[in-house]
This record gives sequence, C-alpha cells and structure tokens, in this order.
Amino acid sequence: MKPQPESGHVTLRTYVWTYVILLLLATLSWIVAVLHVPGGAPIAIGIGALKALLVLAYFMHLSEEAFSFRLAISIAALMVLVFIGLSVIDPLTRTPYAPAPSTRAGTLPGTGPVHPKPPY
Amino acid sequence: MREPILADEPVLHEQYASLERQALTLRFGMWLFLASELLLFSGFFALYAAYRAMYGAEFVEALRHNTMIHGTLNMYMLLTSSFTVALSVRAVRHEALRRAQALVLASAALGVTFLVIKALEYAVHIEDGALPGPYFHLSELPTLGANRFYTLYWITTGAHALHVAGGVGVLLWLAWFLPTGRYRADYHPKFENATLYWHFVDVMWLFIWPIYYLV
Repeated sequence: MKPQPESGHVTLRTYVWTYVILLLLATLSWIVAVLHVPGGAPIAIGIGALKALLVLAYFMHLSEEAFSFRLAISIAALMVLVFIGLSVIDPLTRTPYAPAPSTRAGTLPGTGPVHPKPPY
Repeated sequence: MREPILADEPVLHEQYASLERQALTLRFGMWLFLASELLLFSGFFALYAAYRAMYGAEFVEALRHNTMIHGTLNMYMLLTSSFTVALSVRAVRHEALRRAQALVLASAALGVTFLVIKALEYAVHIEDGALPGPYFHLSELPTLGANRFYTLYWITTGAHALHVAGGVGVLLWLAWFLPTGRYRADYHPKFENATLYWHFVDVMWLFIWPIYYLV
C-alpha cells in the first residue's frame, strides 16, 4: 500500500478551518433566529447554503474532483431551485378573480360565483 | 483484530483502462446517486415553500413552538460527525487504518446520538399533540397552517432520520471492514462513497434545521 501524498488533497489545516467556520456559521444562524432579525429566513437559508458549499467543497472533496462532478451536482441543485420556484409561484399568484358579469351570482338563475375565494 | 485479507486486492474490471478510471467512475456514480437523493428531498422542500407561501403567519407561529434546542443540538452533532468522517478519509489515504476506524466509530456514535435526540424530540411532540395530518391536536395552535407545518415536519424529519439510520449502518459496516485491509491507501473509492453518503445526510440537515426550527 502506498500512502497518498498530501499535495492535491484537502489538508488537515483546511479540514479544521472548515469545521470551525461551519460551527461559527451555525451559531450565527441561531443568533439570527433568537434575536428575530428582520429578514431572518433568507439570511438563515443563505447561511445554510454557504455551509453546504463548504461541506461539498472540502469535506466531500468536490474541490479535488473534475469539472463534470461539479456540473452534475450543480444541475441537480438548479433543478431543486426551479422545482421550489414553480411550487411557490402557484399559491403566490392564485388571486381570486372578480367574476365575469355574465356569471355574477344572481345575474343568471342558478349560477353562483365561478371563482369562489380559496379557504386560505 | 482480524488479519488483513490480502485477497482483497482491487479488481480491475474489463471495461476500464485503469484502476484510476474505475475509481473515478465509481465516485461519479455516487455523485449521480446523491443528485437523485437531492431530488427526493426537493419534493419536501417544494411542499414546504408552497405551504409557507399559503400559511405564512401560521407557519411562523408553529415554527416558534418547535423544539429549537433539540434541532440545534442535532445540527452540531451532524457537523461534528461530518468533520470526523472527512478526517477518516484522510486517515485511510495515510494508511492509518486504526485511526480511520476510531474516527468512523466516533461518527457513528454521533449519528446514534442524533437519533436519540430526535426520538426525545418526537416524544415531546407526541405529548403536545403536534402530530401529522388528522392526528394533530395541538391546543395552543389550533390552525390549519400549524397542522400543515407539523405534517411536513414529520414527513421530512422522518425521511431524514431514516437516512441517518441507514448512514449509521453504513459507517458501522466501514468500521468492521477497515482493519481487514479492504480499503487501500491508493484505492478506496467505496470507502469514499460511503462517507459521501454521510456528508449528504449532513447537508440535508443544513437546510431542514433553519426552515423547521429557526426562522
């Protein structure tokens, strides 16, 4: 067996620094939540994304891998964002429309509003 | 300590030109598997985002009622276990198999601690009535939004806990085979792949923690 040389691999110093930064970022997220900082949700999720990048790059050694590895996981992450975005667009844009004149309740016998107000 | 199994020399399969190419393919296959796992969790995150857009204030109330201390403790457990697992890969690369085994066992212990804390947290929720779907009877928050929140909470954290349990099993499997010489310093793609799975479990918690416990 041949031990692999340190060059080209993540060093012990990088592992330790990554861990320390991850702990600090986790604590920062907790402080943001406890202090009820305005805009806390995007801040905490942004910090989470930064922590994920650090884990991916150094603990999972993505920084050592070929471009194709980074491309594969980046596309998957992009798909997740698209999926979440499309899911959110629906409830955010589901505004109750004013009923058309011909279908207004009481205008025609037996017709009610076509677009009742959603329960939320 | 079991004797090293010399028969476990890496086998070069016929479709590969070299062991390096074979290892690269194994690792790339693992990354593709993790990408598909990410898409599984994306369903949970998309549902959360859609329902939060619908029940914003009720979600925030439910979130503030959640057990932040348990979730935060588990955050530190998983971060530390990710660190020890990363160090175990370095130890294997340096042929320090005993050290690698100790680090993998420490990571598994942290994973078990995560599950114990999670079980304690679930016990609190069961006592409070913060249960999924029709079983929800949390008297402090009798809202549809809180019901949706805890339904998603149980599904997402339950799926994640199953992944953690699977990861602990994988780590124990690694620890068992480490002293046998199966993972060589210059060829250990299966060891690296197993550790990648553990890191993935950690990365998912990096997003579950803020959206279900913090903000």
